[in-house]
Amino acid sequence: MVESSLLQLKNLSLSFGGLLAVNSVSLSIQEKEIWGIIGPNGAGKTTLFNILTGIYAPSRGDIIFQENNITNLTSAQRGRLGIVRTFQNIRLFKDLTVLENVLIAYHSSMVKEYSLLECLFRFPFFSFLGGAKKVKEVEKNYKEKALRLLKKFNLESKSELLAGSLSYGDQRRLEIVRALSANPKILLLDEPAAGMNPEETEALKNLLFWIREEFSVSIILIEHDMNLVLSLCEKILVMHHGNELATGSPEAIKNNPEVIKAYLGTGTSW
Amino acid sequence: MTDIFQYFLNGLSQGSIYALVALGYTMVYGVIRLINFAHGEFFMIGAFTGLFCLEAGFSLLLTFPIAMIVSGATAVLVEKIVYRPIRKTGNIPSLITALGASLFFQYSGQSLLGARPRAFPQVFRSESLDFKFFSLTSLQLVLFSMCFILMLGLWLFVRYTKIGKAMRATSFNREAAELMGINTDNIISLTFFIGASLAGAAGVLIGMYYNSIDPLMGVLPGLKAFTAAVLGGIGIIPGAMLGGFILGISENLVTGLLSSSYRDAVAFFILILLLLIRPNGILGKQRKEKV
Amino acid sequence: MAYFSSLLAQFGIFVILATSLNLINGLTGMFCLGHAGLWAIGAYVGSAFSVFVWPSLQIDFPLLQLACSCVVAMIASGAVAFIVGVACLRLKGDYLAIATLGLGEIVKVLLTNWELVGGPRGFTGIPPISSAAVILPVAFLCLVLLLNVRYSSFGRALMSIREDELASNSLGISTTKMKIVVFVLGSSLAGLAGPLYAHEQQFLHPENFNFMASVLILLQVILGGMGSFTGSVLGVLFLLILPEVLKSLGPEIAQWRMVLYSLLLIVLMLLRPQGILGKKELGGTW
Repeated sequence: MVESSLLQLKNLSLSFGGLLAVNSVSLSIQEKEIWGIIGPNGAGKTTLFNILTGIYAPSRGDIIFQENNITNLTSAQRGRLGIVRTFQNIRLFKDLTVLENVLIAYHSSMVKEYSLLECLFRFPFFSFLGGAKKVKEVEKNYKEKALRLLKKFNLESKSELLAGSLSYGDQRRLEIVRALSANPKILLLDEPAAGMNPEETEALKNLLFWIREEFSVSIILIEHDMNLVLSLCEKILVMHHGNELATGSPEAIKNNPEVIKAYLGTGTSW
Repeated sequence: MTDIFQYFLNGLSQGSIYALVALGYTMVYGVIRLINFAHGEFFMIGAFTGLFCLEAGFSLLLTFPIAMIVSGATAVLVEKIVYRPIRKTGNIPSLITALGASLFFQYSGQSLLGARPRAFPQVFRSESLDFKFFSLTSLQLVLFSMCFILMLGLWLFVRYTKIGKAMRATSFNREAAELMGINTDNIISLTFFIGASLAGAAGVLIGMYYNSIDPLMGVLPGLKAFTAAVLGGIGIIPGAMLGGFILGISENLVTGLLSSSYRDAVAFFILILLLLIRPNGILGKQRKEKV
Repeated sequence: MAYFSSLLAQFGIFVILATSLNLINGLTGMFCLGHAGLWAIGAYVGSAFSVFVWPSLQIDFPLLQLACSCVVAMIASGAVAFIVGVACLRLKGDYLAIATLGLGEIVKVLLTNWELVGGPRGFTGIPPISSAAVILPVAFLCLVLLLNVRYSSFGRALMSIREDELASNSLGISTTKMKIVVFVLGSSLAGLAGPLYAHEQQFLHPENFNFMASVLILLQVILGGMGSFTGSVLGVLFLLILPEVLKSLGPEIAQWRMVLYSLLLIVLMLLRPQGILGKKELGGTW
């Protein structure tokens, strides 16, 4: 284990009753690294994400983020520290607009710039009370920031549409944009390429490379698309029945006899 | 000391009524995760059906099944017409609908039958059986035995019949049950029927016990029965029985040892305590939600 | 004229109650069924202050008396809401509904047994220092206040909790904390309505604050649209006019008022669960 890594998982385990969903997984992730987590369905991949983001508490093990033990922090606290995720089933705020979805991700930052009290008592006709002007200004700044970000993802023109009305591909992109707005240091993407054709997947790959540079984030992907994983990720974790089957570079994983055995055994093809 | 034992016994009879009504709540919650606010009203409907039957001269033996069937049928109607279409809209709309149904029955009953309590015909001559440390009435004995028989019947039904298994399957995982070929819509209707008919029987028993019924009689017992169901573990049938007895006994102990004006607060007090400390109830398990 | 004034006062009171409930149930997506209980706490505590404490201060300034009474009421309701909130707000929707329902009932039982404020005979002798002239501006202020919340980052965060609490959490929003704040704020406003109501009616009875009262407020919110503050105002208006219309049709019809309300709840959920305005405000965004 390298000393100053961004995120460290130490022997993480989780059992649901008698079922061991995750068994002693250890990892070390550096800044700006792109990781892939692969494995058959039920291998424990999403469960691992859930443990990382605080939805489940591990039965054993620790999570160290930027040298701090965050195992006992809540999801919201981890979100504010910079561990942000997307979901397998897309969890956008469907009845809110695209813009609102992004602005909500800015909430933790906006709250530092104006207080609830200032919000409550801003009356347009009492602007001398100060609150109104400040709130208006902060709102405007963040709205512009959000629109600029959306523009980079070609979603600016749709900013006033309800998130639920977007196409599937746009929704997946919006979820990523929203996650980026939450100021992440590490981005956890759960099957971002699900339902995409080869062209879209290629575009996603380039997008993720670009995101890594532009936002200086580490990325961890759960994916089933092997081509994407092998060409995008620097390191890969292979999970099987909750266990850490293998960890290494794409080359190493591709040629790993254990991995080949496990996959050939379950009928999954490269 | 002997007083406490008497309170305990009274509590058992009261508790068995709560248990009967609680079973309906718990069964419905088990299959469709809905708190059926209107359940207390099925209790009331059973009581009034019993009243009308007895006034018409039917025997007690005939009155019970009739009251149970009427309550059960009403529940099935409500489920088909009102609950089913709303099920897919969401949890809160379903709750609101259940609330609406409950109020509908209460206030229709009031407008149609008058708010004043009605005397329940005295068809059972209750004798007092005095023992050394306590006394029982034969009515209490009948009450307790009837409840026991009904609960035993339900337990056997759910445990050992094919339909009972289908009910349990539906409450574990409705989609999987559908895939297994179970017609879950029918199972749900059946669950409503059984639960409401038990409440209807309880309504008749209460009429016999207190000799007085009114259209709003289902509100408080309904809430208390719900507390009992949660106390035992909502969705768990033996839990409803356990919860009912514990609640009945607690109420009687508080009434006897403290003051009767706090009787109704006992249930709410227990409820709040439960929700704070152990929302899953006594027999309930911690269920982790899959994301 | 006095009747009309009383009607206006009632309108104002329920606007405060409905919009504050909308904050909790509509905007944030919680399901509280005990709003009348918090209203009752404010009414009784505020009135008790006004009747038993204020006279000893020897200040003859009715508006100030009412204002202090309101402040005391808001603190009382807010405190209770805080305690209940910290305890109960991690509960899921169904359970929270029952917990708040239970709270409302417990408050009613406690008030009925509190001899100082009249118990089951009711609280009489409350000075007539409130009227529509005071209530309506306060109600308006309340509405503006809540709209200000809605159109801020806090409002959006609350809506995100309603839409998908898990996702909201993952973005760094402390949903439980926010729910407690909202619950306390909404309940304090309900408490505010208490003395305003009590000093206009000059009489309080625990049965005024029963479960049906909570249901009525909920119905106003649902009718107007859960999530819309201006919708809640419309809901109040409709449910104020409806009984008047029914009364004009004769007492036999009027007694079916409650039945009508319950049917309205069911029909709304079946045909138009989003109510009149849904989640939008009257006049779009501003």
